[in-house]
Amino acid sequence: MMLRLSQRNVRRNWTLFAGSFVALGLGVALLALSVILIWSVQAYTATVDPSETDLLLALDDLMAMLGVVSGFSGFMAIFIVASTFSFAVNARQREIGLLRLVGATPKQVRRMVLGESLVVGVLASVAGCALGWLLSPAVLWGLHRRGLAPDAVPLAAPWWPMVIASGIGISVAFLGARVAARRAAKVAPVQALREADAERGRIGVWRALVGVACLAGAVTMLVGVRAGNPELAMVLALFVPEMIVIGLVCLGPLLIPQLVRLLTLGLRGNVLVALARDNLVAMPRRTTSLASPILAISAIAGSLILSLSFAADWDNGVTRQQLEAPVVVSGASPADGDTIRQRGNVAVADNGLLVQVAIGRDGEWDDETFEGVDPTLAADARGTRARKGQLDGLTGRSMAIARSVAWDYGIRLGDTVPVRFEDGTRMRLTVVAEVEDANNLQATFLLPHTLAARHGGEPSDTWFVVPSPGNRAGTLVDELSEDLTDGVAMPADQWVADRDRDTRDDNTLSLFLVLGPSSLYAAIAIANTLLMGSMQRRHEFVATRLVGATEHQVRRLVVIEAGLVAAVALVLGAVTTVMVGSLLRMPMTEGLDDVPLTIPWLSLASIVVACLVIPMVAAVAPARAVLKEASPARAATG
Amino acid sequence: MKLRSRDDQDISARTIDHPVILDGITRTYSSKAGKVHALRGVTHTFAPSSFTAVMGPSGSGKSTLLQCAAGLDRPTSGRVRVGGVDLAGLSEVGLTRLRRDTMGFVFQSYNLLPALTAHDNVALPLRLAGAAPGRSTVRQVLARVGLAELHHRRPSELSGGQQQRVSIARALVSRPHVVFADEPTGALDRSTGRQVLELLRSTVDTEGLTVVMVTHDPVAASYADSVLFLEDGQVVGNLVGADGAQIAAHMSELER
Repeated sequence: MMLRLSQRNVRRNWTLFAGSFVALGLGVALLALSVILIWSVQAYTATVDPSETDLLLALDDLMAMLGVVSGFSGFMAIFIVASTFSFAVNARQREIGLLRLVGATPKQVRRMVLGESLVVGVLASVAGCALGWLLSPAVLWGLHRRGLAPDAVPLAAPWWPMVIASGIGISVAFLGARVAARRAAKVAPVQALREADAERGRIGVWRALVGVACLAGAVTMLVGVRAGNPELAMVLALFVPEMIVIGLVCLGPLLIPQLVRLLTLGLRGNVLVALARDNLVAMPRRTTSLASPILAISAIAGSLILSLSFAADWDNGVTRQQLEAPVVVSGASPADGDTIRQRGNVAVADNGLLVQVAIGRDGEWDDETFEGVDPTLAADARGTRARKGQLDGLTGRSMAIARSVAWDYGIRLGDTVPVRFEDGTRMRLTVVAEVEDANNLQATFLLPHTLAARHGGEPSDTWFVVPSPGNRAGTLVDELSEDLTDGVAMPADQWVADRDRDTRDDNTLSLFLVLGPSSLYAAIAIANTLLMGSMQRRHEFVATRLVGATEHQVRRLVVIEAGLVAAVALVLGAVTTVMVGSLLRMPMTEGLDDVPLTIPWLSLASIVVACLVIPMVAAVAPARAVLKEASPARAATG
Repeated sequence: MKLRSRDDQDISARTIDHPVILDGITRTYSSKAGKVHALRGVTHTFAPSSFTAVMGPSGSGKSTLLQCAAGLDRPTSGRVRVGGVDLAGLSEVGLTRLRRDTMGFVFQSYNLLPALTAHDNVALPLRLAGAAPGRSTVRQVLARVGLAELHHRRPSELSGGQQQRVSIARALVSRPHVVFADEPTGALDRSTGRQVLELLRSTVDTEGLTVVMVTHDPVAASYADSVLFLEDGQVVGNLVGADGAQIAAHMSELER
């Protein structure tokens, strides 16, 4: 019975559910796509010769990236379903009150709303699976084109991935609708008799507790963990903003009206601003539903963009602080290496030997790239220094690790680590030193140069060169440029700047992959809720017209309201971004004297513009049509 | 969803004797401006198979009285008994069950579900109660209000009077003992309004229903057996068998 009613509600009020449907459909499509690709890559990995470590590493990275992208989209999908469903419930208070009046129990109403989510979930899953399946060959090809996937990965059969994706899709719809359903069950029958919807800004104890817990947890994680390296900082930058967003949305009905008041301080002389403000303050839950997708995307995207930029700043700062060599040669062939070493005016020519090593952990082997270095040369050219232990001890069967790896792998100074080289040799290496991370300058695992040379180490294409006393770096660069066949010699500053650009280009690509789908959802959800908001308020618009507002004034009112909602959400998003960014930056820059501060103004500004323009346009578009259809004359005659 | 239990039937048996009893009910709302006393001690028994109109100036507490009597609002003090059951002792679900088994509602704004046809709107209370009403049961009730032919239309395809008659059919379909009506003719023109009132009158006369109707229209009130006057949340008069002119005179007395 309730399911049939749910079905009809969805069919009749499809516009109320369109946002959930599209967000969920895209989520399922992305998930189906990711799972099909992961499935295919895994099947392909099994056929790859285990000696092709580069290929295997690339496939591993690809799977990890697909995992992050789908996890992120999953969060946004739940979030958007939750906010659009709570909006749909809020907009239908009278209707739900009526159902209660004619005899529906709270449980039946809850089942009806969950039924609606089931209908939307099933439809969205079917559409999403089809879309994901159709897109998978194109995306695989695209990934290959961008160098992220190897050629000739055959697509696996899509059936299991589709089952998984639709299962998750339907559960996401259910989870998202749960809160809304519980609220719907609380609508009193007498609500059917009220002409005007009224709300109170009070929130339940649980909601308040969850909100406070999320915010407190987020701050504790940021302050407590003190991420000293970009890897950990990125993990935090991915998850902490979500917690803050959930916390803020839980507390929204208390917080957002106050912010609206604050933002309109001093503007109340304008009648439209005053009216917009009163409308928003009178409906705290509705306002929160409208603001939450804007808050979510601006906080999450802003934090990620800023944190990635700060991580690049950190990389840059570390590189400049440590790099001693005034000249760097990149893209060098082995012959170029000999040329550099044999020059008379070179004091130090430092070059690492790269070797693939599998590290044994709990019976499994993890492939990692080790760099064989001469500790004395590396100290002179790259400033490689031990944080703990002694780099002088890097001889014989020993190794050194970067700080982030020590944290990530739980390897400590003095441990003996079982390793397996590519040539099959197995041995145990003693950890003699822990060094600071310097991603541009050295690998995260170091071992003695001679050991690497014995087990198939290949010289890296980068040489760090210190001229002999009395020789100028500029002259050396010029001379090397003439002698080298493949490599390019350049002053250290230029090389650092190039690395910085490479890092930021890579970041842009990953940001695009991670944020692209979520932003698309958010845009759809924002447009959908604002559109619905305006369509639901036909009576109110007409009433405003009747008391003497011109059509133009009502449209301006709608734009001001949408703008205010967006502004409040953006303020909260900005606070989140600044908090996450600065709290992650502080421990990273500690101990470094000169870290540049790069704020990606352009990316941040484009988020702000999109978050302001989309809601305003979405709110005013239907208002135009609604106003035309509902002139005051018509309203007066009923 | 449960079918009517033995307990519910016991309630039905008792309802006939004491449909709705209000015993010293008060209702106070607290707002920012201070306390608002909507009802200040109302005691009244709505007799079985009677048609009572409740009248009074705006803000006299008519609608609050109706909502308290129907268990839609809980009085601040005093007791409401419907069919011998004290509403104060019932949970939300218990109230819902009692409402759907013994009460029907008709309002000024017809409050039909826009997604459902007239037939499905009428069948809804029975479906919610877990019964599977036959097509003929619903058609019969629709025929009773003169809309047998329009059963497949949605509310948006019906006139105001027709919508109101659908909502009366919906109120009658579960064979309630008491029907609460709040300004049922408020949005209708005179002749459609008359049809609706005659319909309510006939349910009392032929089916023995009890009807409690809030109205401000003396002509509408004249269809009732008695008229209860409220002012400032208190009962200030009770006219039995009065015609429209007498009721209007009494009202203008109150409003002066």
